[in-house]
Amino acid sequence: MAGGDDPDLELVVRAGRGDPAAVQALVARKLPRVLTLAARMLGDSVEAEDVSQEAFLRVWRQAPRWRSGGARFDTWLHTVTLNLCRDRLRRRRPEPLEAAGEGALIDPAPTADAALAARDREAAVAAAIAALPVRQREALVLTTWQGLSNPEAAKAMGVSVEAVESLLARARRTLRSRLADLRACA
Amino acid sequence: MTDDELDRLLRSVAPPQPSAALRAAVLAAAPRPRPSQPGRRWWWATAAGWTAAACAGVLAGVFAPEVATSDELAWSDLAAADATWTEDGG
Repeated sequence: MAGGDDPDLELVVRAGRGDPAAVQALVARKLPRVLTLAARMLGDSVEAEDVSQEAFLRVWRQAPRWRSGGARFDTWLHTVTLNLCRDRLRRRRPEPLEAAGEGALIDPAPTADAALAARDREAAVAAAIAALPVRQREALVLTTWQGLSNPEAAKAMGVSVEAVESLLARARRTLRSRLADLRACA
Repeated sequence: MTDDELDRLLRSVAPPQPSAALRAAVLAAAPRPRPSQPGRRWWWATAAGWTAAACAGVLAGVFAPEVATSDELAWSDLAAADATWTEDGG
């Protein structure tokens, strides 16, 4: 997408010049999004904070040189964050990018009582998401919580729109099956 | 479970909020305003001054022989006049 459509362009340019108000605004606007993406991808709040900090270090390095005409800033930021998450996941344990996963079922709700509690429900959802293959998780997180359209998610992930649609369909099918017990609480 | 039920369930999970420590760390690493504008102006003024002085020197070097020639001409005129006076009066 052209940089002229980028709603963050002016803010990024001003932040790159060290404008304190722009820096504050950019952090207020983007840090929660980056943290959410990292937390959903990694399932670990400490690691998610580390990744968010690293992502913003790259933002600050890039901002003074940011020009319109390339990718949208938000898409670029999602790509950077995804790459940092992938690095972490690769270091953490061997996890296939695409295959497997769907068979590796987890127990989303240990007991019916626990499922009634919001905290346990969140934990069950987080566990179900964490058990998805990385690519399916990326597609799901980008479109569900980050609010990206399928084409935007495809750009951030570096895949085709059709691939995102396929990943999403498989992720949702798996989650429907794993989280069926939580339906009553949703 | 329907698509709507799944969406509702997924969206019911609250997003994490950045801690104050994370926000502070991110802000601490942000670019600072460049305070060197007056210094930079001073640098440019100095550079312009030196450049102007150098140009003046070059121009003086180029035109100095002509000035000397004029002086020589003046002296030669004076010498000629003196000679004329000597011839007339002496």
